[in-house]
Amino acid sequence: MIEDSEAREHLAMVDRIVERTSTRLNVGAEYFVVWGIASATMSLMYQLIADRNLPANFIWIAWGAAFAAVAFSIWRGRSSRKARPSFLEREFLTVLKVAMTVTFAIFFIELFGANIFGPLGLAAVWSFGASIVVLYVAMHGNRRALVGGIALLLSLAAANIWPDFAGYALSAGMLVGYAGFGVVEMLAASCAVD
Amino acid sequence: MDDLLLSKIRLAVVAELLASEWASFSDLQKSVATTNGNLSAHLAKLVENQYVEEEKSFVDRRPHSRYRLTSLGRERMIAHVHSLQSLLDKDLQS
Repeated sequence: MIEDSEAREHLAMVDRIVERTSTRLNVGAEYFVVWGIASATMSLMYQLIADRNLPANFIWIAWGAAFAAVAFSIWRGRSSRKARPSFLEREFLTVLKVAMTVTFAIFFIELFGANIFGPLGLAAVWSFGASIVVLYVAMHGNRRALVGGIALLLSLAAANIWPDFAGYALSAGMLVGYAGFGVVEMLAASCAVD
Repeated sequence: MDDLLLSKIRLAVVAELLASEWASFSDLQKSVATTNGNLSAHLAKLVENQYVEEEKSFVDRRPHSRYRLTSLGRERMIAHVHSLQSLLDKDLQS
């Protein structure tokens, strides 16, 4: 049997640990949600403008979404700097940095006039980078990430098969596979805490 | 009350794994703040009782162990925390 004081002490310890670990988990999930929505908005805007469903000056919405995601990442990164990342988070951040560096390198090459990819080609490269990140998380036993990674790969396949609808396909892939994965992770973390 | 989780170290390990997918031995050691041998012994008991799953591999030719909570471990942990809470609630009422 256990004494009252001991039971109280054990419960307080569990509360402290769960509060700390759930904060660590949520930090990553928020990035998925924000970047997933921003990327989906960008692809959707490009497609709507290409289809002449929106005037060309609506492109500022796409850049606004990208700017908001960058601003959020800087703000969130600064506010959570004190938290010690777990082993998985450290590995995940390395993969994320590599995927983002490769994607941004292609993006900047394109800005200087190589023109290998159009705007939606770049969105496809971004989705490919995102699928590597999510599937890396899946390799560590996260089935939700596996579903997200498959959704991203399916969106790439759909964009390739129906190029006229590439923006819609890539946008849906980012919403389901990236932002959706982030939302489900946040829900799973809150269920674990409850 | 779960006898296995009456140990403070085992309870801390399971709480640490509750919101994580996988955690390495060194991460658990830093969080729980105990010796290698002590943590190994407690982890062995949790693995033996299928509360925790262990995966051993080599990273840069060095052995690396990581752990995650099983669904049984999660169920037992939640039940144990509820037992602790109801014990304190009963004492408050009496």
